[in-house]
Amino acid sequence: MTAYLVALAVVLVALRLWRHHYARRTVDGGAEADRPTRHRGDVELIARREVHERTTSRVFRVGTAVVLLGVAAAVVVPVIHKGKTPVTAVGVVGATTPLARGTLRAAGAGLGVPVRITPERSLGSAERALRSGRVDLVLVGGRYLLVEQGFAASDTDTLALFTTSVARYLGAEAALEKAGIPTSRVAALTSPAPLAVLSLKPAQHRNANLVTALYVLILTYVLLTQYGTWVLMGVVEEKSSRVVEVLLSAVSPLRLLVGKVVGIGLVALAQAAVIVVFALALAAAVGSNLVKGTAATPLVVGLVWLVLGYAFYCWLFAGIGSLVERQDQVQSVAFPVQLPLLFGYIMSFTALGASSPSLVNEVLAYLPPTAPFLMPVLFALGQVTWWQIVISGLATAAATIGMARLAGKIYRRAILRTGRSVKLREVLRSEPRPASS
Amino acid sequence: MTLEFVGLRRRYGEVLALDDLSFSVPAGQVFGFLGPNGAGKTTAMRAVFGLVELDAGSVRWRDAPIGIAERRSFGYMPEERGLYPGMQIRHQLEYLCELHGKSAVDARRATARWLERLGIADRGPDKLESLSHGNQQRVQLAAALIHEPELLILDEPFAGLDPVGIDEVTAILAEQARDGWGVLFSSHQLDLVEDICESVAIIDRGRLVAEGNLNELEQRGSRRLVVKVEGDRDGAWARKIPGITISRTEAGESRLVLEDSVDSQALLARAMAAGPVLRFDFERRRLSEVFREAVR
Repeated sequence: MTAYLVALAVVLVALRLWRHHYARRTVDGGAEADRPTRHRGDVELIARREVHERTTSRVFRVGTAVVLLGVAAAVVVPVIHKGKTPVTAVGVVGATTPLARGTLRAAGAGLGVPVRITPERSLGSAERALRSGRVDLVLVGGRYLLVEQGFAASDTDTLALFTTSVARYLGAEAALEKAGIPTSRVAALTSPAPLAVLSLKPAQHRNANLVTALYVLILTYVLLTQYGTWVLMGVVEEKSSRVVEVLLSAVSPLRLLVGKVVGIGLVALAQAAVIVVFALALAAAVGSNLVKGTAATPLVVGLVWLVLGYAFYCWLFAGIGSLVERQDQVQSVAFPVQLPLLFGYIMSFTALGASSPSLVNEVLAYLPPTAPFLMPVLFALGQVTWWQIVISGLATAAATIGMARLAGKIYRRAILRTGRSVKLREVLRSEPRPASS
Repeated sequence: MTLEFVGLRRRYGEVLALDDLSFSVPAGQVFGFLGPNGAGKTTAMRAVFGLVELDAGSVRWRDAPIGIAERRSFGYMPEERGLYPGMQIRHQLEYLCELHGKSAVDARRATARWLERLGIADRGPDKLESLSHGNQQRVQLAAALIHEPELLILDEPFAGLDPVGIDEVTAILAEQARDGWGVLFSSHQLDLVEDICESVAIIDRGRLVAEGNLNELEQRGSRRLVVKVEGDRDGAWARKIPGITISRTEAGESRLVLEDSVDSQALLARAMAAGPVLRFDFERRRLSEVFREAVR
């Protein structure tokens, strides 16, 4: 936990120092004028502008604060909720043996619910207590159990499981006593030491990995959608404000695009890191299950795939953005690009629930548009190995290069076409139309 | 040091936007680039910055092809104005200056100098969108000039400016030319072009139709004479003289177009014979006339 807090502090201090440096540089021109400065490369300049404009914008700050609040709620609320785990109240009519009391408590402990046993004077008062909700279950004279609402065979809520478990154990104890087994031996017979289970392979922390995979999956989807939209909006902003023609007089289209996606990517990565570190640090601080349930390797693999996913999708968003004429058209063009994201996300959920990957999911784990979702999940579930991840990663990287080229071509041809939205087909087929005069 | 357009050709489907366009822009003077709407001016200017893929021809600077390093030393104000609306003015000027190859320190100094010069020094920390239209135009001009370009290319720089703004831009262009830099700009305001340009190129349907020193262009063609003879109302005295056409008479003044064979001194004698000569004046053609003739 200390490590998480230190990491969070380091990130915050670094951000603070960087912003302080930038502010001083831009406000106080003369003070450091004599210091020799180098000329920065164009891609670096473009990326720096993206980082600065985004991190200082109110939208970004508010957005990040909202996400962190959401994360805080997701971490803290279950902890508070857990503190108020409801006690199962068992009313007892008539005499009960210490054995029966022990059995009730043991059944509760097996399900993680504390049990409170209260004597009831009569069956009538027990029924009233059941109806009012004061007790959940009544043991009548050690002969039968009484509940308010009957259970169906498929019910799996805690009370149903508790009741059936108690019924089975008490029934067994009654049968053993009837068969003349001394009470002192009955307890040993009804709760014997289980047989040892040996395994050929060491146990996997499947639950921890599953939880991590789920977090990573949600984070990947939310962040890829958000950061892709940032890239899209960034391209649209430059096109709709017409500043792009001034920029392209000094920088090549591809370098402008690379600077933009790198800059936005850096902000995205920093934001994702802050979210993860914040969530882990907070979880450690409040004693949430999140930390216990978080497996480090699947988390790292998930974050690496988040970067690969961004690298692949950012070009798609950028290329599409160059087709748009006005900001209000963004949603309609973003939708088709978000579909493969959504598809990968949903298919990954089906993988989470399966003991072995389906053929479809296995294939999807190697396709660049869906690999950033499927691969981390399959890895966390222990269904793929390192070399499979590497192969899929290389495929995504190769596809990213192809995607960058295609986006560069679309961007170069479409970015100076103004006056109306540009159709993708037109751009891929033809050269730009003439300028206005 | 000149900018040369050499045989530019660009076709968009049926439209021939540039049709073997060639002309040179000398440094150290303000050069006007004229043509009716759709003549190909913007396409030609974009070609300087590689923003248009040419079918043939090239744009050359100092006898060499133009690469990204050369483009960075040029300043450009596109026809469709635009900067970042939500970005601080000084940040975007510094950014554009650095993007054109200057150091951060130089960019900061140049930004302060230009904001001061354009009278908006106190607006540096403001967002562009908070400025008036006129001040936004000033910032746009500063964006083209901020890195001390050796060639300035401005597409319709006077469009939308008030008279004060026009004077400012005119002064800056003249100053750039005086410092030895090249200045090429397009405009439809021919009176303005006439006032501030030494040379012009006129294009129509992608082709060069007239080019050269403005004085020479205006003096080219038939001699034109304005004569006023007392008592003469419609130039009757000149009607019978061979080689002379009366283009217009107005308030007793006759505008005559002289063929090369006509001796002006003999003509003066004929006018004096008709009565006291109150005016006898050779007239230059206006640029607007040169333009109309060229694009007819």
